[in-house]
Parts: sequence; structure tokens; C-alpha cells
Amino acid sequence: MTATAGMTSATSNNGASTASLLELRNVTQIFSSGPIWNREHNYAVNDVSFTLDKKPALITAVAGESGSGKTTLGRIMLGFQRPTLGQVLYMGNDVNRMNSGERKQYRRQVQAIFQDPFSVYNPFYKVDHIFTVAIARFNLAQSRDEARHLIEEAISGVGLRPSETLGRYPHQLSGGQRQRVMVARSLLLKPQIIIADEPVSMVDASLRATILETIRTLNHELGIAILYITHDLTTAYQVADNILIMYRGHVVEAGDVEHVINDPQHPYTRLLVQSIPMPDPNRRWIDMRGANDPPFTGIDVTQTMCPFVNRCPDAIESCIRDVPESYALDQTRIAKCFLHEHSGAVSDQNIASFFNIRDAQASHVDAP
Amino acid sequence: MSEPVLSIRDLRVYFNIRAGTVRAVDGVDLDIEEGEKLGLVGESGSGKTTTALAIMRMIKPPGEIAGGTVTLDGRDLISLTEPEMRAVRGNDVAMVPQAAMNALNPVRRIRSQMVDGLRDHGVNESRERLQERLNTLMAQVGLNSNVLNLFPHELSGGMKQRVTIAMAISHKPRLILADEPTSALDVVVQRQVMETLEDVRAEIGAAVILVGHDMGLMAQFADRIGVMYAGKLVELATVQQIFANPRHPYTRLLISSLPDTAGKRKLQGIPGLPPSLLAVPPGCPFMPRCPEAMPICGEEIPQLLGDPDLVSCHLHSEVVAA
Repeated sequence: MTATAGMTSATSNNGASTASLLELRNVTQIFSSGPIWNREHNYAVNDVSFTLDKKPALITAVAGESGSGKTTLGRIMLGFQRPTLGQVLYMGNDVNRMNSGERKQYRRQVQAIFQDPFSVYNPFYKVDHIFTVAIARFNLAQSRDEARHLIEEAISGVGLRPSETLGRYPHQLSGGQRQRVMVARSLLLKPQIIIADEPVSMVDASLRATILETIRTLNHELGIAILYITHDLTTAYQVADNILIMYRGHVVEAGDVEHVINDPQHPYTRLLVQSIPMPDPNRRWIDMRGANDPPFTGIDVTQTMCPFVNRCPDAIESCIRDVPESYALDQTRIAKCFLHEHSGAVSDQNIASFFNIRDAQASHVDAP
Repeated sequence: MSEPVLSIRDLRVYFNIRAGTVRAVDGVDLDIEEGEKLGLVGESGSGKTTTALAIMRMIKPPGEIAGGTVTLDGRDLISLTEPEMRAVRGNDVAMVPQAAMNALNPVRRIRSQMVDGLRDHGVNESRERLQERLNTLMAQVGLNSNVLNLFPHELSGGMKQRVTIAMAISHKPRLILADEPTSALDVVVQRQVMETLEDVRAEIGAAVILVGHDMGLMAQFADRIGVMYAGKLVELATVQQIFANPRHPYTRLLISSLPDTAGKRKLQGIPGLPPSLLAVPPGCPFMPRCPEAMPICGEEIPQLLGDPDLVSCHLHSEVVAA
């Protein structure tokens, strides 16, 4: 399998899918634990294929509970984690076989924003440090003045005032400011892709909106493709064009965010959506206590069953016999659930082929 | 009207640090009725958690309760001696902590931790009676009683949070303080834990103060909402009123910044930052960020006025005066 995959990577390099920036091809990540005679294998990511494209550059959300594999998926795309099976291709090149020059380019073009705006900083350095290191590493500026100019431009780009930000230590900034400085750092490098893992979960509500709006601007105005990893479906709905819902390593539903969240088709997505605490006292949680127990409650879920079978209120016999395939519900939606078997299995494994392409009204101006 | 369970008057909590005095809570008045669910919201540093800790008298140095009264069922907690206060904690006021993983002792089984809590408050019963009591508590929070035999690391986050709820209700307190009890949990589990909290609250008839910044959770749970800003309560109203007709500009901006799933729109945050609590400017603390600020806002601190819904904003002072 690896040999053929190597060949296809070479061919795609020559043309076929030029629009695709970063591609996951049948990626599986297995974390093993326990003694060798009783090894436990945890499928953090289970056979996921999808692409982040350049034209058009979209915002894709990845949502799911903790342990669903959403962060692992992000780490694989960032090249922090080498998948057990499958390939990660950046501009057609396998990121785990790149030479150092290619790798450096990839590192620059695919940037990360993490959850915790506290621990990403070294408290002994002023915040300027995270910019100057990046500038030196990638030779972005020829002089001090030029470097200063670049930094100020990036900071202004996220709605902060350089005079109030630079020259300060991380503890002198608020959580929201620190997180925006991280976004500014990404912006400085003018990347093609930003992978943001829970960027606002530790930030106050009043600042959350500002940061998400900044991320949206980066996409709309600079054409940066964004992977937004979150457990919060309301922010995913507001920010993203398309969404992947993950459960135990499987992408159980994916497609246009409007449809997935307002008309969920997989029972797990439905459960998630019903559990959103809506900021509206007139739309309180529907009382589901006393509802029928899932038919296969307590069953030991194995790799040959639907991963959600033990919690699914709609489970049928097929669900414990086999893992469902991804079925195409319509042009912009897939669900991995036997209830949709009649829709027919997808022919193209690439989840992104079911994405809704936003009207590219926003001008894709390259950063000056 | 019946006597409130808890009545807070002019509560002030100050932290004396080298740089000066941080006025974390600066003159809060609050009444909580029997069985009421009050949400206390605000951004980090607004004083919501400090207010809750002050009710429990758990402010640690360099912080101190600098003034005011906290009256629980007619008894002023601030003037109690430490041993008297110790008897109040757990028995009359109980806390459900934010991070359940840090609240439980990792090297002891759930059973022994729960027995500790009971014995410490004078429960002196036979093993069988005690076991019965623990089984009932576990059932109340929807856990199987064999959870008692487990260590905290063997439980999921939701189960751990249920254990802390079981501990909190074990003496049938009059008031439960829940400080972001679900902030570390997933939405599905969050919902289950909140439903459990509501069930046990209704069963023992306790009032709850839910501290947090998640307005969605507040909308789901609370009867009334108190909005804190820079150590002060700026608005206090029914949950319906807060969401349908917020009167303080801060509350209004906060509500409009919330994402929902009914159509995409431009997300609008609140520009600026809260003032440093070391040197709060004169006048209304929200004035520098307020889109509707008037000259008077920079000079005079607005009073928390109204009946029954309260707001402290000069835009609304004439309504009350009239």
C-alpha cells in the first residue's frame, strides 16, 4: 500500500489536484498502550481522507468530544505526529519524506494557533521574541527597521495597537491579547494554512467574538485556508463553511455547516446539537431523561462495529455487525450511519469533495 | 415576601499586594430567595468567583473581606468564629468546584473521601447506615454505587463532577455554590451534569449560585442573572429580562457577542479591556468601553437601582428617580 501511495503522490505532484494544498490520504493514527501480550489499540483517527484547498480557501471546522481525535487530526496535519497509516501531502509532497528545505517551507506555510494562550509563551521573553525568532528563522527582513515594520503590520492586522503590545512581557497582556498576538505571529509568516486548535475556549466571551472575527478576516481577505478545531458548535457554525463531526476517530458526518448543524443526520450529531446550551432562555434543553435507552447500551464496542452503537438510540442489527461506510446524502453531505445506507456509499473518499464552496466574493488579495 | 436565604450587603473583598489594593469585589448587594437559581456572570477578574469564595469565607491572604455582611438564614457569616464557620461549610453552604479532578484526592477511593466529609460534620453512624446513605447519594447523582470503590483516575470527567455534586448535597445544604462546574466537560456530558445538579437541587430544595461566563449555560439553568463588572454588580434581573431586554450597555454587548446557530452574522466583541482593579477610574467602571457614555459617567458611580430588576447605569437612573 505504501508503495502505490508513493506513486500516486508523485503523479498528483505533476498536476491532477493542483488546487489541493494539504491532503490527508486514508490517514489512521493508532495509539497503543498496555503490555505487549495484552496490547490495547486506540484508533484516534480512523481512515480519514480530506483536503484543504487553495482555491477557494475555506474555513473547515472539526468538532467532537474530547477523545474524538480532532486534536490528533490537527497535529497530523501540522506534521507533529506521523500517522500510523496513510499519508499527509503538502503541495503533493509527503510531509514525512520531505528534505529539509521543503520541510522548512511546509513549516512556514502551515501555521498553528493553540488553545492555551499562556503556556505557548516563554515568560522570560517579551512578546516581541516570538516575532523576531520567526523573522530570523525565515529571513523575512534585511534590517531591524524592516523587521519592526513587519511586526507592527502583523499586530495591527489582528486589531491590536503595536505601541501597547510590543515591549511587554506575556503576563502584562490579557488572555485575549495574548491569543491575538499568536494570531499575529501566524499572520507575519503569511501562511497558506492556519490550524487553530480551540483558539477561543480559554478566552472570555467578549473577546471570543473579536478573535473569531479576526480569523474569519484572515480567510476572507488573505485567502488563508483554516482548520478550526473546536468542541463548540455555535462558534463552528458562525465561523466555518463546512464541518467534520468526529467520534472516536471516525468522521461520522461532514458537509455544509448550515445543514449539518441545523438538520443533523447522524444520531451522534443530533445528540451534540441537542446538547448545545443555547443562549436563549426560551430554547432550553429538551428533557431527554426517561427516553428509551439505546438498544445496545453496555455492549463492548469493537473495531468491527459502528463506534457509536452503544450510545445510539436508533441502532439496528447492522450496527453491531459492521462499520458503516460513508453515505452521500446529497451534494454537500455525508454521514457514516446505516440509517442512510440507501443513499449509497461515497465514491470519492475525500470528504472535501462534499464541501460547500462559498461564493468567492471575497477578493483573494495576497498579503502585501 | 419570605426572608431571603442569603443576603449580601456591601460586600468588599480586597487583596493587599505590593502594588496597592486590588478591589476584587467592591460593594456587592445581593439577595437569594429560597430554592432560587442565580447565575453570576462576568469576564475573568470581574469578581464573580471571589464573591462565591467570600460567601464560604474561603478568601486566602493576601485577600481579605474588607467589609460588608453575608447573612445566611438570619446569621451573619462574617462575624462567626472559624470553628463556627467550619460547621456552616458543607452543612449550610456547599461548593461544587470547577475542576473536579483537582478537588478529589487521587490516592484515595471515592468511598473514603465521601465518608470523611460525612464524619467531619458529625455523622456518626454504623457502617451499614453509612453505606446506605452513600448508596442513596450515588443514586441521586445517577452513579452506580460501585463507583465508591474506585479511584478518581478511574472515573470520567462527568462522573467525577457527579461525585463532587454528591459530596455537596450530602448534608442537604440551603445553598449550593457551583463555580463553572462544567467548564471542563463536553457538551453532552455538560448537559447531563447540569440536569443532575438541577434534579438534586429540586429534591433538597436548595438555592444555587452558578458562577460562570458561559451565557448559554446561564440561559439554560438560571432563574435570575447577576452581571458583574470590575468588582461590582452592574445588572440583576430575571433570565428572560436579561436576554430579551438587557439594560446595561455591558450586558447588551455581552449578549450580542454570543454566537448562535440561527443564521450567520458578523461577530461583534466588546472593544477595550476592563480597568485595572488596582486603580479603578472614577465614575462608572465600564465608561471607557461604553458606546453610550455621557459626561456624568466619568464623574459619578451609578447606583444599582430598580424594582425588581436592578441596573447600575446613568442611562436608566431617571426611570427610577421618576
